[in-house]
Amino acid sequence: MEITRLNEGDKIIFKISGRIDTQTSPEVQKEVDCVLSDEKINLELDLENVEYVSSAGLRTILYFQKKINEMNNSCMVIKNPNTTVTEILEMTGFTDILTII
Amino acid sequence: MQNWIEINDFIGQNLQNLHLNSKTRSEIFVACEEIFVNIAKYAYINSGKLTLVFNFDTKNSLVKIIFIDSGKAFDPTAALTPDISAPVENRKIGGLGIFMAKQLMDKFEYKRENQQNILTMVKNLKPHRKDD
Repeated sequence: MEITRLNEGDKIIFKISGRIDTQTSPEVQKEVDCVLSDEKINLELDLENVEYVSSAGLRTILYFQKKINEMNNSCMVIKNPNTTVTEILEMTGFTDILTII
Repeated sequence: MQNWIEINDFIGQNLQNLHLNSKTRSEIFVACEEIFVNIAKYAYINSGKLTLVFNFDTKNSLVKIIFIDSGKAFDPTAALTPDISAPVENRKIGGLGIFMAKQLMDKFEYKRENQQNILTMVKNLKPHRKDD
């Protein structure tokens, strides 16, 4: 799993590749958590190169969404999930609580 | 965690020659991880043994994955489905893993025999096509 952070205007983008599973989700959480301390965050998780997410990955994503929801003027988008990730987000009802583009 | 890495590699090796499309492959990995993590967390008070068996049925184009542990009795087929319509604040991850494994596999059967939990998961394989 690789995670790269980019700044694009006022957006903070994390490009993640590989899997977000029980092994890799702690690192994803740690990296993204670093930026979740400021208010007004425009966060994008680019999952285009993510093969799949397990429930451990969903736990991490839920953690981010909960934090974002508590922050003023902040939002998070999940970008370009592949077919498998989309299937998992749909079956678990996560499409209802996330913003997916 | 080291156990999961080994199991992950083992699954990968087993699936390698099947030329699965990436979606089917990923679905199998996720289902296996969910079951493994559940056993690792709850089956034993300290550590215990887990046996993982892969059966390939090329005639019927399916793979059968069997998890055997001697931990406390637990029937994942009877596990409650979590609330997948709860709002963010009330959303829980507990129970989601088993639910996902059930949804991702085509058969999901449990039996308790000789003080062992035996979970059999079956995935029908599709012919190889271009990865998404």
